[in-house]
Amino acid sequence: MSPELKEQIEQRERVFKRVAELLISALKLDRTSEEIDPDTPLFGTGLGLDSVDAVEIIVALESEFGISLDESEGRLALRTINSLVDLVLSREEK
Amino acid sequence: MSLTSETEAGYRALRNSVAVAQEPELRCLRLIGDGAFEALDAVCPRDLFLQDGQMKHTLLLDDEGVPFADVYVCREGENAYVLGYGSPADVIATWIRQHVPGITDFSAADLSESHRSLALDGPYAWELCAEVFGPDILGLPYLGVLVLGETLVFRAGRTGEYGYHVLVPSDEESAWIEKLNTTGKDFELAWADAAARDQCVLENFFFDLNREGSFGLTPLELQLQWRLSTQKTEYPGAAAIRALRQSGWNRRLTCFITSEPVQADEEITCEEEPVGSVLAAGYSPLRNEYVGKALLNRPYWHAGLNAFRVGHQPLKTIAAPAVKNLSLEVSPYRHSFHTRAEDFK
Repeated sequence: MSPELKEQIEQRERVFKRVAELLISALKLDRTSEEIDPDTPLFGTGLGLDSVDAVEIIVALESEFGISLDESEGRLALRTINSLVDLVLSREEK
Repeated sequence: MSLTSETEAGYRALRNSVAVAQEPELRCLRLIGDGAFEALDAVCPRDLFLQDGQMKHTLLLDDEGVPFADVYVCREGENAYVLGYGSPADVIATWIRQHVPGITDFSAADLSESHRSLALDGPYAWELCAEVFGPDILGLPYLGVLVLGETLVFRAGRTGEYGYHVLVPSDEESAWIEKLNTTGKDFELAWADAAARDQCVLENFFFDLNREGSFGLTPLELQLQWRLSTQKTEYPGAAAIRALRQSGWNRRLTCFITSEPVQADEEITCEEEPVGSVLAAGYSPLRNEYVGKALLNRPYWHAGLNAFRVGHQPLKTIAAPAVKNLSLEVSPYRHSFHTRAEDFK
């Protein structure tokens, strides 16, 4: 594997673990990060979170990553952990 | 490999207004009796804490931990419903009894014999359903069940849009279809064929028994751990799941996009090494490219990697779902199909 791809994968794994543990801690989920899949829906089905949880996530994202979201961004970013990982990585690039 | 015009019309309605489909493949089993929930709780891999009128999405697993049915379990009054795709309802009833021989105080009825299922999906499905089936639909929460006489309404779906499975008595089906077609003209209702619905399921990364479900994969590999309890230790398939958790799993379903068609079973390479295969793919009119599901080996199984090929065709993994659903923007409290132009100026 090329060093560039290896670095990209490792970066994704690092951010995934941070985001998953952030959700577990903020929402007191009864799961480990290994027991949450990256494309699990966060709301409705999947983890079954609600609008109160959404606020918790937004506050936690700001606190952990310094990321603030408007309503439109939030709707897209809060779909799965993978979409949150995409958000964090895109903000890190800026 | 683009969609036929009929399929695309159904797809567009499903994504933009509302689409209807007959769903003979949807199974519905009703369990009645004191032991109904105890029996279901014993065979389902998910915790079944359900209040009246609620439903949960889960799976039924064989002894190898492989799903053979993709189901919702619902509580409505004294009735329990198992609604979903896969084995016929009578086969599921027999399977439940085999796995809980000590629980006998329940009876099972296959509603497929007395009812027909109509699926309504789309960002304005709620509005058409309310006009046709009654305003109580508007108060039905996601994963809720509503009984309207002999008609049962389950609010759930696999397309990422507002979705309703409406089970109507068999002898009333044609009358309901006529009413839907008549009222639906004001909502640009279209009939969605199986290809249109399958494409929407694929784009939203919902589990499809007929596609990735036919490869003998476990929920761990299918990214369906959320349908498994972390507390339950005894259910069919639990030992296999436990063993796989302990040994670790080395492949995972991942969403991808590509600009040219690819086929199920085609090999995926990365830097000229085989790293997985295509399990399903289809053309997405919303994205104007192909969307699919791949089974990728660790550590290549991540989204956001533009590093793969099928033959000479580049393939990129992405975070699911692959589309932005209009239903995310539409609220039954603030919007209407009839004012959509002003609502979303």
